[in-house]
Amino acid sequence: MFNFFKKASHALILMSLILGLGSCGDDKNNTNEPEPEESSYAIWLQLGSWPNTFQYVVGTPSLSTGSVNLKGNGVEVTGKADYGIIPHQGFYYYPSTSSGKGRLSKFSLENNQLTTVLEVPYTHIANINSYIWADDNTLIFLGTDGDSKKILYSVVDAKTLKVTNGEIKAPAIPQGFLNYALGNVNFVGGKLFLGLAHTAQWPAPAEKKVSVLVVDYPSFNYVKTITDTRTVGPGVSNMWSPGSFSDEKGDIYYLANPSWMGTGLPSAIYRIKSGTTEFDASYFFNTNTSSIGNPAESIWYLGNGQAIVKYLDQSIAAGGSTSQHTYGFATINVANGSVIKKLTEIPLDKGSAIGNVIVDGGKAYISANSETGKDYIWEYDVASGTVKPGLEVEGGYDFILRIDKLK
Amino acid sequence: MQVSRFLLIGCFCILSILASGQNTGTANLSGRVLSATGAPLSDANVLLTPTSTGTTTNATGEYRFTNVKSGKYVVTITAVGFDRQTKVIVLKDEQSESLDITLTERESNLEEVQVLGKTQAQEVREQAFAVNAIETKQFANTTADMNQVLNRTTGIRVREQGGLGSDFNFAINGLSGRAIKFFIDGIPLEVMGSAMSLNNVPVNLAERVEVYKGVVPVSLGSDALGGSVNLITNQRVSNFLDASYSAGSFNTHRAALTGQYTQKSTGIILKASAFYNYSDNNYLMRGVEVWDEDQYKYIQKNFRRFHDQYKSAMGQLEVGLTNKKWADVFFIGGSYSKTDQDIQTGTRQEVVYGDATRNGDAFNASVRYRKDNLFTKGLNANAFISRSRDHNMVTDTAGYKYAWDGSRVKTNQSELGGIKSLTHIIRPKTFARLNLSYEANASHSFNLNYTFDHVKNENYNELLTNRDDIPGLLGKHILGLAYQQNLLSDRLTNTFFAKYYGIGIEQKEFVSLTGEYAPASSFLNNFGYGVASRFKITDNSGLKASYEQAYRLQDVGEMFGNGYTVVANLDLKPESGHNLNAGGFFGHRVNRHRFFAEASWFFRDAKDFIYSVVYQSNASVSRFENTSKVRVTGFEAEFRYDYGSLLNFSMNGSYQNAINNTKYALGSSGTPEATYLNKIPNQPWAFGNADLGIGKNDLLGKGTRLQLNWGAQYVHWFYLTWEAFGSKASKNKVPSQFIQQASLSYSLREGKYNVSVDCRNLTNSLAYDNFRLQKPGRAVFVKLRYFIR
Repeated sequence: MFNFFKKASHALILMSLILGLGSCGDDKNNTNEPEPEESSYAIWLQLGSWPNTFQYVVGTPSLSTGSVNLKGNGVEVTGKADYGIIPHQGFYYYPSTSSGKGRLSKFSLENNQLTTVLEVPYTHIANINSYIWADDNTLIFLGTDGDSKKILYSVVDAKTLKVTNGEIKAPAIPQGFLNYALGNVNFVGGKLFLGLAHTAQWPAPAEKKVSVLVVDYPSFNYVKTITDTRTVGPGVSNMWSPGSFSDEKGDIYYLANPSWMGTGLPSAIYRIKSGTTEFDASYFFNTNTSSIGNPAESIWYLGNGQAIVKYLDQSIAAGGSTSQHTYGFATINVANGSVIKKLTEIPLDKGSAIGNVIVDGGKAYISANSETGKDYIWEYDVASGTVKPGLEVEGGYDFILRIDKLK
Repeated sequence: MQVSRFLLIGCFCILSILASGQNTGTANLSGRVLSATGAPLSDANVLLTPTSTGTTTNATGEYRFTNVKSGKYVVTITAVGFDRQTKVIVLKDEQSESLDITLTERESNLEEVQVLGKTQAQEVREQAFAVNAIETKQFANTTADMNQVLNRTTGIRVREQGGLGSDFNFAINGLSGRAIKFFIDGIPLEVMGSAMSLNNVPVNLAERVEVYKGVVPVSLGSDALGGSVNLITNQRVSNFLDASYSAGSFNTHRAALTGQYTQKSTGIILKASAFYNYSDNNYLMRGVEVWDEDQYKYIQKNFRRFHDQYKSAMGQLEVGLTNKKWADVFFIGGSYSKTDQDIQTGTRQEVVYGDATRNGDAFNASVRYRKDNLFTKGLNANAFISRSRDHNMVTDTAGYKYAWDGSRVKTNQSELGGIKSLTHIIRPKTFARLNLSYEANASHSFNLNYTFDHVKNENYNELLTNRDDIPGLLGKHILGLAYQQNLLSDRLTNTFFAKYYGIGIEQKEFVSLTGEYAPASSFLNNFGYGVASRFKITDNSGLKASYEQAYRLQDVGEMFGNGYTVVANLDLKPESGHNLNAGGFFGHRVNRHRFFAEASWFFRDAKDFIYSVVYQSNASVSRFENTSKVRVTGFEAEFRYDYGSLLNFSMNGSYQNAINNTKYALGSSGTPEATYLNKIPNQPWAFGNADLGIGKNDLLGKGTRLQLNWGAQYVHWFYLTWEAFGSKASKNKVPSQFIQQASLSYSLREGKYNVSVDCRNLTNSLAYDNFRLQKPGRAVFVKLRYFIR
């Protein structure tokens, strides 16, 4: 009897193998994997039509030349990480509260592998909206609890991943509103500056106020709230596309983009001068009324008073097009509040909340997912203001999610 | 739950006490079927060819055919334990003929007879449609539910997330989810409420299951893009009772009852069916990670699942009359079902839940009516109407993060994602079906089927509000007309059909300009059509081919969203596809050896799949869109061999190649998608099954049977993500599975008393249907079953 079972099992396996022959040919395509070169940069990509959309990260030695693709190359990160990740000095830090895993992981990206260096339980902040490095070994997370009714912080030792948790006792949510919505955080002069809005239930608009909380570090004691009532939404509420920065002088800039929080209100840049805890009353840069003529979604500082903004080209939807390639780039002189130029050489990108830009060695590298042409990481020379295509991202991927400098 | 238990016990008592009998009407051909000793034989099958009309004898051995066209006929009689008999008879105009037949007893029992005549399932297999037909009889002494039975057949993959009652994905030839519709006796299963699901309906509730692949007869009136599953209950008029109880691993207890009683004097029939399922589902999770503070790292350990209890119960009663002047069948019925379920994990086992639950209950009331030869000869009418209310609740309020060791940390966050919620989903439903069939003559027949399905969809979070401000209303009208021709002495059968799909939807819509809700409604029309043909080369072999242009209609929620997190899309199109099947079957019998083989090739070209699309990666707002296209080609084959009632063996294999046919990503028109023409990931594409049964009658006394069954399933490994992209070392796979099961059953008194031991996952393999979601290891169940008719 046993022999019969064995034979039957063998027959079944044999049949399955015959059926499986079709796939063997395909497998061969993947056996010649490229020899990995030492990667100085990484690009995060998403591909596949819904629901089979997956994210990958691929290393590259240069963003200026050559090409990169995912054919048998790159790391599939599904189940491990996503692009809500923090690059720092050769490592990635990934709090997985968003995916429900409840861990804080530290990875290295080498030889087509995202290797876990260390992993600890982490559940304190349900929605991490912002982070900042207090020093090279101290990472601060800011976010809200599950109900978005408390502002929480965590201080992480990057070597050991030991975490200290707490709550910032901010003023109560005003009557008529339900939740805190945090924007980016800056760390200047021993103080944390944290963008804040008070929201109601969608689609009702948020409180018409731009607020920046000032908090002492490392006590996390609340100091004050800086406010303005011309628009809403200071800083961006995610870990990949910035809406704020501080410059060499310690001046802090906040891009407030109202979006659904305040229909009809403009997107505008505010400044908090170094050493003060007030908005600079002489500074209000309305991007809608500037020559950009559109709301800005993200801002990256390039140095020497220059910045790049990513703006939504509203004329595309207004013209009846359903294209999702609606985001352009413009350089601005953020110090004096003027537009330098729109970077029209770069095709319109798809998706607003994208980590498009990094700055390295006097150059800004800008990713753009073109609707019709090839996809490049564009190289912008800060000094000369020239733009040229750099690394080609081959293959027609759905999103170029972020670019990172690894080392 | 109390109500269901009461029903179960109540039905059992009533049906056990009462005795049998039935009435028949007048006829053109009638007679009695007797044994050699002169005893009347009930439940003998009497078949009249070349018509496909058949009947069974009543308790006194009588049968009748009414309004049969004059001509020459062959009458074939089969009965359990007796040799088959055929007689030729000529029926003349306006005359009533009488034909009594005596059958000779065989020294064999129930299983033996299947070897001789064609079972109903075999008849269905030989239809023009691409269909899997499964007699549940062979599984009646096992603890399998419908999913497990169907999962062993060609072209079907059921991917379960865990143990008893767990979520599952049912795929027919590579299409799954809403593309597959489920029925019981031609009525959508959802009419009975969401507890009636293939993952907990015991095999004993249905007599037969038919799975139509890609091309679906008009009588199953629905928008089934990928295919339909129809559970067929015992339709005979005779009395029977099938009651069973099983217990086993993971504290699993299951009871099932189905039965029927006819009161001879009044002709009143009482039908009942009920089931009860309970399991702790506390199977061992092997090598799951937990945090070890001393070692300051995650370590792998084994833990039992601790929050996966499942309870479900259903009770249904129908009271009716048969063979009255005004109705051949008239039934009024009602059912109640209830489910309570803990939720243990997210879509991966790393995400552990310890508090979230899902509960639901449903009421249903229905009326069934059938009248043959209505107004004119050959026009048969079948009507059904029901009203039901299904209420489901998902409770996700705890605010703790759990680990596999049962420890938890307060997070003030929901477990399932999003805000804390007590989500109510309430769906009152009205369903009506009218089926008219007309047999003009032996060669030409027509079938007209109309279904109306109206559902209101209320969905709200009790923690925020106590009602749904914008419930969606959906009314589906599906009309199908089929014309069937039987040519060349029934060797060639062609069925041509057309279907009309009308969908009316209504919901308030959020207007962003005014910030208010405005009523919105829409009515959409779609037409589909198809053909199914079969040519019989011999009596037992033939070729068949079928085609349908099929649809899966939009849902209210998909069209209008929910008003806040999902926005409306009035331009949404239905999912649609071209489905094509071609195949053949071959049967042969030499003495007690019987072979049957069938093979088919299929093609599916489906487009406009509807998925929720989040516009920007961090946006809280999504919208349903027609996003993708899939093309599936595949091949499947099955071989069966029986040797009398001693041995049966079957083996099947399925291969499918599903290709992403989406050339451009949504909102993009220039560069083709990277994954265009790539194999769809996360989908099994090669799988097969083998089943072997060995049984011996009268081994341990007269009227006994000892039966040993063994089965195995192999599923080839597959990639979780796109095969071509990413380095091989970093790619995730769902590993190959080779899972075996075995059962040993012992029956007494010709199958009246049965006891069986059933072992699933015999080798205690690590089983995965989905990426990182372990299924149960070895499990043993004992089942007691009482069956009388």
